[in-house]
Amino acid sequence: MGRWFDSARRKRRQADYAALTEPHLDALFRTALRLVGTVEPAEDLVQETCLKAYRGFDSFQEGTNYRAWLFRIMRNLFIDTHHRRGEPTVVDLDLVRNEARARSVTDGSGRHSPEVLYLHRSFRRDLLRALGGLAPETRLVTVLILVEGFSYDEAAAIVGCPLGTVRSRLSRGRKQLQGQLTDYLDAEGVAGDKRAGLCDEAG
Amino acid sequence: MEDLRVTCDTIDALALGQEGDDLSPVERAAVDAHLRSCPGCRRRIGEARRLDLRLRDDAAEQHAPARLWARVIGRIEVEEVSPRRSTRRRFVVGAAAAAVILLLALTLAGPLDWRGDEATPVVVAESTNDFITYRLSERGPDVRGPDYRAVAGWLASRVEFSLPRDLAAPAGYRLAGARLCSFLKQRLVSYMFEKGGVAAYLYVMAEGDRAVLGTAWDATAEGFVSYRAQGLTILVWRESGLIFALVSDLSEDDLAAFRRDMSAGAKRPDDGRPPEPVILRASRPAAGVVAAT
Repeated sequence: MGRWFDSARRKRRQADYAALTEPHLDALFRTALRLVGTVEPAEDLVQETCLKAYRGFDSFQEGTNYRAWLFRIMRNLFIDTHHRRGEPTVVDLDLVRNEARARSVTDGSGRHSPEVLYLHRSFRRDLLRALGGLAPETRLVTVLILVEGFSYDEAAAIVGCPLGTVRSRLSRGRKQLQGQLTDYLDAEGVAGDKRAGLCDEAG
Repeated sequence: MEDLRVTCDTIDALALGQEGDDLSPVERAAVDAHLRSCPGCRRRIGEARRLDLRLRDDAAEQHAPARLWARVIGRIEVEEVSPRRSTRRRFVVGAAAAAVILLLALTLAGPLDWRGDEATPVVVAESTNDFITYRLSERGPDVRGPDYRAVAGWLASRVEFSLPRDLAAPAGYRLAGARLCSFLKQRLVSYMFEKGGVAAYLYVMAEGDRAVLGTAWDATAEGFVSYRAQGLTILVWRESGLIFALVSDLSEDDLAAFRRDMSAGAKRPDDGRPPEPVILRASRPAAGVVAAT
């Protein structure tokens, strides 16, 4: 009887965990990829994050920010791994394969031209390279805020530093990325200015 | 902040990031006015905003690989059945992990569809890390008819270990298919036996990777480890330097009988002597190793 209860409790726990965690898998993977730069280690990082979250699932307080909790686990694992192994330097060629599975890139007309697709792929490759040049904590803050849309407060809680530090890291990260990715940021020209809100529709 | 003075030093915080979202119309107008009058800030802020947009656009199109969640759940399953959490069940950590991952391999690969009456592509698996990705890349032999030798002969050249020379399907079962897989960077062979719509999958791999399988082998008196996971029964045993895992939704008793029949059929000597007992032991005994027969 005890075993049956154990089993039922475990199944319910797994179901609760899956319901809360799986919706964040894409975001975790995106962030992990931008932190470690290659697909396989990114998958490993996500896997370890999820496993650790499962182990500590009972300690998660309902009603608090589960997404931030998950990312905090990932942050800790990433920083630990970084200190242990050092920086990755290679951008994974698997990205190209992975891209093939990603959703189509559209050029605004609903269709996707080879050039847009090529630019997009190159952008991600160069983005990962540029992110790899940032200090780990700067990279983390930059990705959390600019990619995943965390608020400054959430990012500060995840990273475990004051708000001012988050701002300065973000500023540093943004500047470095801009410097590395200038070609892509110029490439959009006037259309990009419109999207960035720097000129009106007529202009 | 109504008398806001925007300068090249202060505009970043106002025009970028979350502070910018909270600006009043007057403040926003001041920011826009500065941007119009200062080409340097206009270029820099423009680039920063385009960077933000590109980062978000790029991320929106990227999804986790389909296999990733299965990997996570697989690890959790392995952890759940791990004896580290329960000393009552003296199962082997490595063997349990191996079998569960074998089960995962089965799950990830989808149903075996290699029918005996058609030449179907072999599913060749390439392992990455400890897990498995599948691709269809080779044509298998024509396995028309339950000719184990034909299948084994074809497979033998594609694995690094010696497959059993004779592997008898238990009475009533037929060999319905076989394939190559990869597990922990090792090739393994999987056979599917079928009887009246019931399938039993037999995985065979070399015993080589001791680190994976652990140094202890605490099998039952029958010489195998068995447990259930994901609704399936799994029997794992060692024999002649190979690891065997039998996976099915049959009961443990049925699978044990299946294994007995298979071993007896395979080991039946020509001279009519009784079959030799199956010896299960670690190839390099270490402290705590249990040899079972």
